[in-house]
Amino acid sequence: MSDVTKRASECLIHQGSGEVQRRSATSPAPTGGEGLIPSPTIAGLVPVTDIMTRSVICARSDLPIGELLDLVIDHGIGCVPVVDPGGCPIGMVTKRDLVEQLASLVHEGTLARLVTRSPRRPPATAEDVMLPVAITVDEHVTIARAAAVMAEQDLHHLPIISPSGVVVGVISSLDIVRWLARNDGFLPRDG
Amino acid sequence: MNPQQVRRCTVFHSRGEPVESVLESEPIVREMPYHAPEADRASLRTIMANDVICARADLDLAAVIDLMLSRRIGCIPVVDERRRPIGVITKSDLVQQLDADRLPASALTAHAAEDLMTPVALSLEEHATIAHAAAMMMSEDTHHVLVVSATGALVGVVSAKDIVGWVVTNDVLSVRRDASGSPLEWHPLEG
Repeated sequence: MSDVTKRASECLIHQGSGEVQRRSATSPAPTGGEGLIPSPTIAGLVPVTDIMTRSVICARSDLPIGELLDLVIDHGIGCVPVVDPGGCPIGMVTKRDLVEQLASLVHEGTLARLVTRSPRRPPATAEDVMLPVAITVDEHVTIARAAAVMAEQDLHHLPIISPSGVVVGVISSLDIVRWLARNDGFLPRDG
Repeated sequence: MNPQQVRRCTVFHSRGEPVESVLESEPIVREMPYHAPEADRASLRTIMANDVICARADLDLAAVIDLMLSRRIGCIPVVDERRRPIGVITKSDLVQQLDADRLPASALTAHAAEDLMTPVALSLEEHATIAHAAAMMMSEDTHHVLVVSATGALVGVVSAKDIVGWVVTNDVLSVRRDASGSPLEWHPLEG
C-alpha cells in the first residue's frame, strides 16, 4: 500500500518515570477525504479508520494512579489503553475503573473498617486498576463490526490496532453516534 | 439549590421543525440527506432504558457510586419531587470528585447528589427519534440524553451505546457481509 493511502497516527505513552514516549504509526487514510462525510451511509461499508481518533493517550503499566487520573480529567477521555514497551495494548483503564477506586475510598471510611479484611495494598499504578484484557479491533474492520464488538462487550471505547498490534487509534460509542448524525444530515457545531 | 436556577432543560420537538431546542442551546443545523434516514423513523422508545435509576438531590455520594457500579450505568439523572430532571451525575463527575478531594474518605461521604451533579438536563421528548438523540449527543458532546414526557417528567435514558446497539441491529446484513477482522458473529435476535 502506498503512503498516499495511509495517514499518520500518534500515540503518546505516559510512563511511570514521568517521561512521555511518542510513537507514530500509520493507518489507512479516511476514504471520504479530510473532514468530509464518508460517502457510504451503511456502517458495514465505512472503515473504522474514517471516524477513529488518531491521537491516542496511552499509559504504561507503571504510571501512578494520580497521573492517570489527571490524564483522564485534563483530556476529558473515557478510556486509557495500557500498552507494553512496543505499543501493544495489554489492558485498559476506563472511567468505571476509577469510580470503583472512589467506591473503595468511600467505603474504607465507613464499612470496611468494621469488617476484618485481609490487608490489601492500595492501588498505586495503572496496572493495579486496569481491566487486564485488551479488547481491540483491527484497523481494517468497518464501523459495523466495531459497533458489534462494542455492543456485545458492553464497552464505550475500543482501541484500534494495526496488523503489527500497536495502537493506532481509539473509537468511542460517541464517534459512532457522531457518524450516524452527520450521515443523517446534522452538521457538527463548530468549535 | 433552586431547581429553576440550575435547570437548562433542552427539549427537542419531533414535530414541526426537525429539531428545535429551547433555552440556552443553539439550534442544530440540518441538511436533509438524499437517503431517507432510518434513524428518523425509529422512535427513542424502542431503544431507551425504561427502568431508569434516578436520584433525588439529597442522595449521598456512597449511594450514588454503589448504584452506578452495581447497575452498570454511566449516568444517574437527578430529579425533583415531580420527577422532572434537574441535572445528571455521570462517571466523569465522580472521577473528578476523586481528584478534587484526594482526602480521607470521611470527607467524601458528606457530598450529596446535588453537589456532584452537572446541573444540565439535556432532554428529549418521548416522541423524538434516534436521529434527534444522535444529533443532540453530537452537538452537546455527551454520552447520555434523558427522555421526558409531555409534562417534563423523566421516562427514560438513552446512551450512546444504546444507539450503537441500534446501528448494529439495523446494519446486520452488512455485518454479515463483512469478511475482514475478527470472526465475531452477531446475533441480535437472540437478545
